[in-house]
Amino acid sequence: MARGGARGGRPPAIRSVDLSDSSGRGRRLKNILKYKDISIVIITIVFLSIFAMVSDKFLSRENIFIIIKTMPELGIVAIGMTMLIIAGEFDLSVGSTFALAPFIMAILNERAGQNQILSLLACLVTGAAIGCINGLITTKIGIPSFITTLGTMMAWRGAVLLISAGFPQSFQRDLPVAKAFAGNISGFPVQFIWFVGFAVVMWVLLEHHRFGNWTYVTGGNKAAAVAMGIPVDRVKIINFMVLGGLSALAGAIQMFRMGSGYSIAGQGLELQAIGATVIGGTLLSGGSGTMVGTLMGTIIIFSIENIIVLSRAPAFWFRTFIGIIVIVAVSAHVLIQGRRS
Amino acid sequence: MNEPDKGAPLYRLVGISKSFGPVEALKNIDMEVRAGEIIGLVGDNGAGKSTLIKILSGIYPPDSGQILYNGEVKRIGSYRDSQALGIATIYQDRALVDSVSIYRNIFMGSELVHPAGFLDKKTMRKDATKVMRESISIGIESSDQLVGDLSGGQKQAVAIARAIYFRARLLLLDEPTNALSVKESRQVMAFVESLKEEGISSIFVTHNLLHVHSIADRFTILSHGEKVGDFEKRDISMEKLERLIVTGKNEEV
Repeated sequence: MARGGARGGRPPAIRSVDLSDSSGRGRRLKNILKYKDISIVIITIVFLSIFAMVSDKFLSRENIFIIIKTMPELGIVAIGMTMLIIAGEFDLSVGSTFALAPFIMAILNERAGQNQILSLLACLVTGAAIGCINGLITTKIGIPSFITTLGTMMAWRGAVLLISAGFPQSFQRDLPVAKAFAGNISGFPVQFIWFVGFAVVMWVLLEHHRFGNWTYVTGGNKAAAVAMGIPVDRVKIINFMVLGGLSALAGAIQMFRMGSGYSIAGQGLELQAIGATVIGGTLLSGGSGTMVGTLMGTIIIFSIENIIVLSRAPAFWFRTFIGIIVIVAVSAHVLIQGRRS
Repeated sequence: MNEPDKGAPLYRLVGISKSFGPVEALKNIDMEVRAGEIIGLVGDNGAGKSTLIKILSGIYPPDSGQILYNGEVKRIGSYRDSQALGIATIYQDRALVDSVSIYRNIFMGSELVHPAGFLDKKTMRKDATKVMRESISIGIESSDQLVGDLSGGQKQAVAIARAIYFRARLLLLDEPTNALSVKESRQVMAFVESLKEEGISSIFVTHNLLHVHSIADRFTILSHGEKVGDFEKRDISMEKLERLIVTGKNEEV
């Protein structure tokens, strides 16, 4: 009879239990992770080198100026997208927010004669409110954010078409508020400083703040986060709102740069932003991703667009290249993951 | 907090009932847990074991009945309430996040922070390493390692280490050995057993009677939401335990 189980002669109380089965594993993983973050930097450098060979204008001062002046519009959206994807959701409506929110700003300022700063605030609040609606529908009703934001993408695009009746809306480029976000400091585009600034703030949040930790664990394992008392719905809604606000600001920056807004602005931006995020190594399944990766992903996507223009290739190639690179990048990550498990 | 004497129950459940619509999941259950005691909570599928665990961990409120801690009536309405009473639930795989590091897992939801919510990573890393070293040496080199890279047994150990760090007095282990290898199961059980010395109690829910019989001091048997009985280990054999679970009747009482 197995009375008392297999442990008839009980060993002395065990203070320390050895469960190790893989001593070298941790170090190897660490190396892969290091490699992962460094690899995206290397991939970026390789791309830039190839582009420099394709066109000698690529690394010219004028071209680099154009890149750092226009890239922040995608980059600022991609930063917010990264946070939201890490939290386990994503947002297809950013392109519509990018068009609608600045349109409201321009109408308030140009047509209604409102104060420029109040108009910009209204733009940001509109973006955050759109994010809040996305977040509330997704978390409280419990439908996938893909469906929620597919709906709001079309709805808000319709709204901006309706407001604009298809006509562009002008905005005075020389207003101080426009200079503050899209002007120059001794020839250097201000929007790039904002872009890097936001990336640093989000990096600090993710790496060094409780909110970042909650964002990672909410996306990584929602049930566990709930069990540990983390308000996962609130975490997701805040990330939706941050992305909405950043998309609105990015749209405003484009309007400041061009001096007018278009109802079709930001079409396809959602896929570029998601593309920049996943190229940078953020997993669509949530719980994992870095700001450095997204920064590199943005540079890659933006440089492809730029090199196609420079090399006078048909612009249609842009999407084809992006598509191929997204697949290659994500495949690489899956392969790295596969090796891990 | 008064230190209870060894014999007095630390936790007492009195007349706990819970229904889900027409289904009576638990009917008038009484249960006691003393300090440093391991209780095997056993019963067939649908006996109500998981419901009872979820009531203790604050996921469901009971419809009626009382929970006493050190003789005082307490309400467990949320995970926080449960944690405040020193109860920690160790789920098989649900309690950890694979994509983040060990120390971020240990402090998940209870992060140590500087003012304005900035993480005190230095102390978290140090404390995580310390609790892993002192209570369980599980072949983990660094608290920066991702939990997703650990084995099943190591993950359990991390979850238990988290509970110990936050001064748990009662571990609720719901099918802890389900997905583990034989060797790992044994190690986890030995670890739980070693915690008795520190006065940490455990409720061990499992289908594996062999596992539970080897380490439990006492058994509480449930069947179809009702309690079949409480038995000290010395009073019950594996065969009888198995018979009681299958029949759901305690003929000898």
